[in-house]
Amino acid sequence: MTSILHQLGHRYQWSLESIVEQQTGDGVIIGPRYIERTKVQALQANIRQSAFFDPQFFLPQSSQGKLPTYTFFPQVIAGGFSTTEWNDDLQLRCSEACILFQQECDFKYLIIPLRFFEGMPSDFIEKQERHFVNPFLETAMRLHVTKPILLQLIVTDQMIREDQYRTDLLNWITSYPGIQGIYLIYHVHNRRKQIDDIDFIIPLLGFCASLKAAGMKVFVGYCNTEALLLVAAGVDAVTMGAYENLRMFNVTAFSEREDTVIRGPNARVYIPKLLQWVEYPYVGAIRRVVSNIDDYIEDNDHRVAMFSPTYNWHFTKPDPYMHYFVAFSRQLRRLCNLNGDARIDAILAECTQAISEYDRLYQEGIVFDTDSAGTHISRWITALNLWRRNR
Amino acid sequence: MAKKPLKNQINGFESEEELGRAFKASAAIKRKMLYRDWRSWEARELQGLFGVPDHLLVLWKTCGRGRRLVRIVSFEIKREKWKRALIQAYRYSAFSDYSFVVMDHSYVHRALGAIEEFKRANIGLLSVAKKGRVHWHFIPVLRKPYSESAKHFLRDAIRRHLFGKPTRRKREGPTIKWSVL
Repeated sequence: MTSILHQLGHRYQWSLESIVEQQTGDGVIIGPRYIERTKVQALQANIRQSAFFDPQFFLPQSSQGKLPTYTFFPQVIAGGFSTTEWNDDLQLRCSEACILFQQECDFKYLIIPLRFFEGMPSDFIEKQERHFVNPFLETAMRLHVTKPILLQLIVTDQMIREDQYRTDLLNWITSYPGIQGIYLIYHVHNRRKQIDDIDFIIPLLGFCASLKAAGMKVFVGYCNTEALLLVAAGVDAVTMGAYENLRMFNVTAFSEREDTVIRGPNARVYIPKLLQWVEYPYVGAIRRVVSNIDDYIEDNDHRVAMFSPTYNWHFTKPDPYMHYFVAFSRQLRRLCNLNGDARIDAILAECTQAISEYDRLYQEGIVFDTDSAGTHISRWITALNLWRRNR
Repeated sequence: MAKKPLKNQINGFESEEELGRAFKASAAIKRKMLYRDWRSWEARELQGLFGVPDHLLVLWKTCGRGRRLVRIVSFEIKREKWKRALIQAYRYSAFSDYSFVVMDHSYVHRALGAIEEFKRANIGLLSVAKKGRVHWHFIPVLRKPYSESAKHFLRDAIRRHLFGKPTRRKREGPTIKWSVL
C-alpha cells in the first residue's frame, strides 16, 4: 500500500490542518529550511511519530532560512563547511547531534542525509560514504538506534538516466544491511512544471521497482503530479506539498543568493481530470465550455472560497493548495487501493481520460499555454507502457 | 536542413519592435471594426495581467444616461511564431473583449495554414506589410472575457487610471504598471 506524506515547508500549518481535518495524508516530512528547531520540537507527538525528518544537508556550506537553528547542521557545527576540514571528529559530532535530535523527537524513521552533487561525479558514492553514511551508521550503532533507518538519496536526472551509474547506485544502496530503505529526491535540470521526459521517467520507475524488489522501502520526496506514475512502481510513499518548491526539488532554494527580487509563480489550481495544475484564469474558459464544472474541479470544502466572485487569486493563498490536498489525495488513494497490473491500468485510464478531456477543450477553442496544457500526458502513457513491457 | 530565407527574398520587418511601430492599433481597429466614434487610449506591454500584451487598446464611448461602454482589445505581435502568439493572445482573452495576433505579412502564410485554430479560439489574425498596410485574415466576434477576476482587475485599473474613479474593491497581488504609448 502506498502512503501519502506531506512535504512540509513554508506554511506547513496548511498541511497539518489538512491531514488532521481531512485525512489527506499519512504523515509528514519535516524540513529545517523553513521550520525552526523549536517549532519542530513543539509539534504534537502523534504528528512527530508518523513523520520523518529530512536534515537537508544538500548544500552543507549553506545557511539559508532556518537551517542555522539546528546546531548539527554542517555549516554551523564546523563554523563553515569545507570538505577538506570535514574531519572524523566533525563528522561524528554532526551525526551524533543529528541522530539525537531525531531520536528526541521520536520520528518514525531515522534519516541519514546526503549532500547534493551536480551532474554525475565519479566519486559520488565514495564521498557520500566517507562524509555521511559511514559516520551516521557508526553513530547509530553506538547510540543503539532502534528506529528503522532510511538513506536519503539526492540524485540528478543524469544519474538516473545513465544505466551504469544507476546500477552502481542500486548496488551501493542495497549493500548496507542496516539501511531499511531510501528517501529519494530527484533534481531535474531544465524541467517544466511537469516531468515529461520519457528517458527519465522509465529509468526512474525501474530504479524504484528494483529497490522494492530488493526488499527496501522507497519514499519519494518532492513529488508533483508524477506521483501518480510512481505508485505504478509500488513505492511505499509519495509526497504532496503546497508551494511549487515542495513539489519540484530545486537546489537553488538552499543556496546562498544575492538579494534579488524573485517573482512568485502565477496562481494555479489542480484539476484532477486534466492531471495538471492550470493557471487560474483558464478556469473561466473551462467553465464556459463545460456544462458542469464539478466534473473538472472537484467540489470539496475549499472550492467554494476559491470560486467566490471576490476571491483574489494569488499564489500565497491557502485555498488552491488545500483544495489540491483533498483532490489529489483522493485520486492517489483510488489508485493505491488497486494492486499490480490493475493499478497500472487505472493510471493509464486516468491518463487516457485526461487526453480526451484536453482534446475536448481544444475542440471548444481553449488554447492552453505549455505549463497548463496536457502535453506531458501522452508521454506518461508511453513511458508507463514501455516500462511495463520491459520490466 | 531547412534553408534560412535570404533577406532579399522576404521583404519583411527586421524585428518585432519595427513591426510593432508600424502597426497602428487604434486606427486599424476603429476603421475596420466600426468603432470610429469611440474614444481610445493605448498602452504598451502592461504588466500584472494574465500575460503581457504588446498593445492594449481601450475604446470607450458614453451612451444614453451617461453609461460608459468600454471595449478592451489586446494584441500579441510576433513576426513569425504564430503558435506562441496564439497561446499568448488566448491568455489576453481572459480580460479582453477582442484579442488579436499581429504578424509580419511575409510570414503570415504559416498561420493561415492553421486559421481554423484562430477561428475556434476566437482570436483575430491580421498581418502588416512592410509599407504599413494591414491585412485582415480573421476578425473575432465580441466575446466577454473568460476570467471574471482578470476582467475586473483590469477594468478597475482602467477606471482608476483613465476616468479617475476609485476602485470597486481592494486587491492584493500584482498591480498594473502603466506605460502609455
